[in-house]
Amino acid sequence: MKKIKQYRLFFLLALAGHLSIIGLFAINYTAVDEPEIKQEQKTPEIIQASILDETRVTQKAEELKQAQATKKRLQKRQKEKLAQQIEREQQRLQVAQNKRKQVEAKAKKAQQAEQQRLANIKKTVALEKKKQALIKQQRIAQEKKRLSDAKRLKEQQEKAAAIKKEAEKQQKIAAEKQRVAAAEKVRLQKIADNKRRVEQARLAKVRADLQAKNAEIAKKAVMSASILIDKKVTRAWNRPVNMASNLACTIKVNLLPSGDVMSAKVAKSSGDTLFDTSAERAVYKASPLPVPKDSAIFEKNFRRFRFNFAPK
Amino acid sequence: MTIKNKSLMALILILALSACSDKVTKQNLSEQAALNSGAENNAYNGGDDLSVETVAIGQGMDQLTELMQSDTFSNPNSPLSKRIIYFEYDSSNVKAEFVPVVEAHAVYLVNNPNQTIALEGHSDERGTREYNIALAEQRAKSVFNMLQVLGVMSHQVDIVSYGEEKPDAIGFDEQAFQLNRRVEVVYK
Amino acid sequence: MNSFKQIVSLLLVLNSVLYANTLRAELIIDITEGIQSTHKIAVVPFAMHTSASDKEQEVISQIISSDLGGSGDFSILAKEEMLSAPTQAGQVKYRHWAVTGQDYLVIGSILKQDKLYKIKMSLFDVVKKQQINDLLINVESRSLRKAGHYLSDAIYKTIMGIEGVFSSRIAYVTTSESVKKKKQFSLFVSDYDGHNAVAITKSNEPLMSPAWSPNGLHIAYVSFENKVSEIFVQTLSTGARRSVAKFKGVNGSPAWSPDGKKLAITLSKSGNSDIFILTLANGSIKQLTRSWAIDTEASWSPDGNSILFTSNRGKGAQLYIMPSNGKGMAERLTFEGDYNARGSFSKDGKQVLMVQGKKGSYRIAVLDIEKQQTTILSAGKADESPSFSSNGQVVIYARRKAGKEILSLVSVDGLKKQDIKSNLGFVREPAWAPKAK
Repeated sequence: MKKIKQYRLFFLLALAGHLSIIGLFAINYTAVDEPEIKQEQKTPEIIQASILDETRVTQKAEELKQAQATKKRLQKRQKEKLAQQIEREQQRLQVAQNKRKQVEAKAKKAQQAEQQRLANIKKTVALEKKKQALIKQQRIAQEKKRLSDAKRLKEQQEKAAAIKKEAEKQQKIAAEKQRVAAAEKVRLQKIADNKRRVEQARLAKVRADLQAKNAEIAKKAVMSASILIDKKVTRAWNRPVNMASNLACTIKVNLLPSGDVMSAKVAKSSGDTLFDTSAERAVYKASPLPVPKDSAIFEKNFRRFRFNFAPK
Repeated sequence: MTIKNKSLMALILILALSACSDKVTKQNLSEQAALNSGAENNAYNGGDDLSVETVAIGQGMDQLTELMQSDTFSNPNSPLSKRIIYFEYDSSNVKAEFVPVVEAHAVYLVNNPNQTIALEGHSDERGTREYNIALAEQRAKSVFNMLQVLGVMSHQVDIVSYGEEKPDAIGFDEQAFQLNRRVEVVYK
Repeated sequence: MNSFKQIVSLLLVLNSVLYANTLRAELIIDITEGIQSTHKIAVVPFAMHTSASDKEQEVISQIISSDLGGSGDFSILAKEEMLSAPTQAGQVKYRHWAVTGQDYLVIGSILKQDKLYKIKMSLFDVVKKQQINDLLINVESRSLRKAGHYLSDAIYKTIMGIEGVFSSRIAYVTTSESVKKKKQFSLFVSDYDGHNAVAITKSNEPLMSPAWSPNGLHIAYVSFENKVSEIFVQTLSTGARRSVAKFKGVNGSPAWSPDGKKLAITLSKSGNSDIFILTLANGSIKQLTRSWAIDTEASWSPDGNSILFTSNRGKGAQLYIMPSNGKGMAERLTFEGDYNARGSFSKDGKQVLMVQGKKGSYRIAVLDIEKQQTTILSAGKADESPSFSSNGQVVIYARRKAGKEILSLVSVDGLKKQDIKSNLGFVREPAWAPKAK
């Protein structure tokens, strides 16, 4: 009913339409009973003949034929023509009859349909009435409801509005809170960032210190190993006697991590083979050299290095 | 008169002593003895400390030995018995104490112009050998110069330096050194 | 401006060094000192291949061992400590020798064929694990010792880089007794180690100052056999000799000129000991020094242009030097000690060997002319007659030990000392023969 109220206009229009259609059908029903047969009235024979047409016609034809042989030809022709015409007419009639029959059938059908329709319409109307009543009721109810709904809606809306307001308020507060929180967060973040930066800096310094310490340790390790190696090679260097005091040569060495001398070769000669050889031999003799145990330090400094043999 | 008696007694005493003395190493004699076959006792000349005896040149070893064993040359009181002149280290100066010795020999040689001697210079063993030859020669020459000044003819004196090659005393100490720094007067 | 430039250049150098170092990032260890110790060497007894009847001792490795060991430059491994006895290169296992710290290894073999010896010697560097010498020599049996010395020289030269002295000869004077009772003096020539000693002259009178001619064929010496000092020159191969100086007074201290044609000698015929130059071909003499002082113990500079001699012209014996042609003043060379005498030049002319006396102790000393530094080589108290070895590394000299006179060796740096044992009585005045040419 609510819906009928809502679509009152459209409902009325539909009702009108239906009623008009019913009216039209009522009129048309009477008119349908009169088929067009005017044309066939010209040849009533034919009409009568229509029931016995076929056999008579044929008989006639035969008769005529038999009757009139020469004339027959013309007549035949005429007759043929006529026959044809008749045939045609008959056909046409048949057709028309068929048509009419069809129409009649149709009309019947239509009538029936119409009747049905009318009946339906009646039903429908009745239904409609009921519907309308219902609709009305519904509408009323709906209206009531609508009103109450509207009221409620209003209330709701008000509530909603209130809530919304409240919500907005809350939101504002929340927003404010958030803002504050955000600000706080930013502040804290800044502090945290600072802290982190400081911490990072500290860690970086610690790391750097550690690195420096490691480098220092490595340096010390290299130095102390160098001193030990120096001592060992010095002890193993049997210097040639009576040699010029300005002799100096460079020996390049390849070591194994164990300190064993893999090769010791003259990189820069002193000009005196005896001196050079004595330096080479000193390195071999001092093998294995006391290299640091740390493999990184070893690889970096002691895998390959040089000796400068230059007595003071 | 008394002097003569005294000296005679002294001589007898000395004789007695020297007769049984083997201890005193008459080193000069021993060297000469090597050339001699035997020793002959010669009569002693009595009297003066310095006896002049003419010995003919080329009279032979016997005569030389005789001479050396004569009182003049063997009597310790006789300066001629002293025929080693000792020297100070690195010096060729004749020390004062030996001047009379040199003089004595000079006198004898002057008085015996046919007598020849050899002055053998020696040094102690310190230092190098050839340098010591030169050093020892200087000592011998030093003695020779003194002799010359005293009138001895150069042809009477031969100089030989042995350096450290013929030491008198063995040892590398001052005692030995002292005994080796010498010039020996060797009568020929 | 200069100092500024200096600073800039120094900074540049420093920078480039630092830059180069960081760029190269390579460690460089400086070795500024070494030790001077002996080389450890093992001389494995040579394999002897002789006929069954021969019972010959393998003497070559013994000679090599005593040569090298005696030089003071080597320590010889005792046989008991040898872990193996290779006689061929293929048998050498370096670790057997590295275990006892050997620096070098000598192995070899001797094959005797009739009277001929084929001697093979191989020398290895144990530290560098490589063979460094290989020799094959043929000698007659009488030259076996010579062969051993030849190999020692070869080994020494390979390792030390300088000539060895093991094939050299020495001359020296012996006396049978030290008391001046009937002594016998002898002049000997022998191998440097005293073997094969031959007396080339004998006398009851002193013999002194033996001097080798530069070609090693003759020896000049002073003899008192005729009761005066006299200089003789004797040819070793024949034993023939002639008297070259018998002047009045001292005839002494003969010294050969480097060309072998002259002798610088000491004569005192002009009054006191002076240096004269004697030309051997014609016997002519030329006076070099003319002072009132003692001038003696002449010796020639290696180039023959100068004469070094002892003189006391400056009070006390000191060394002086003057041109050998007589044209120039004598210059004093020694200023240390109370006494410096018997000087002789090293072959390179840079050092003077001498006897130095200080407070009664006489020791062998070496003066470095350029550095003006004197090194005392011996302990004293009565060390004398020093002579350089043919390679200039060793000095032979005479010294007293427990009342005896012996010869002794000392290295030129004074570190290695060794007395030479002798049964020849009292030994003195050693003279080292020059390297045979």
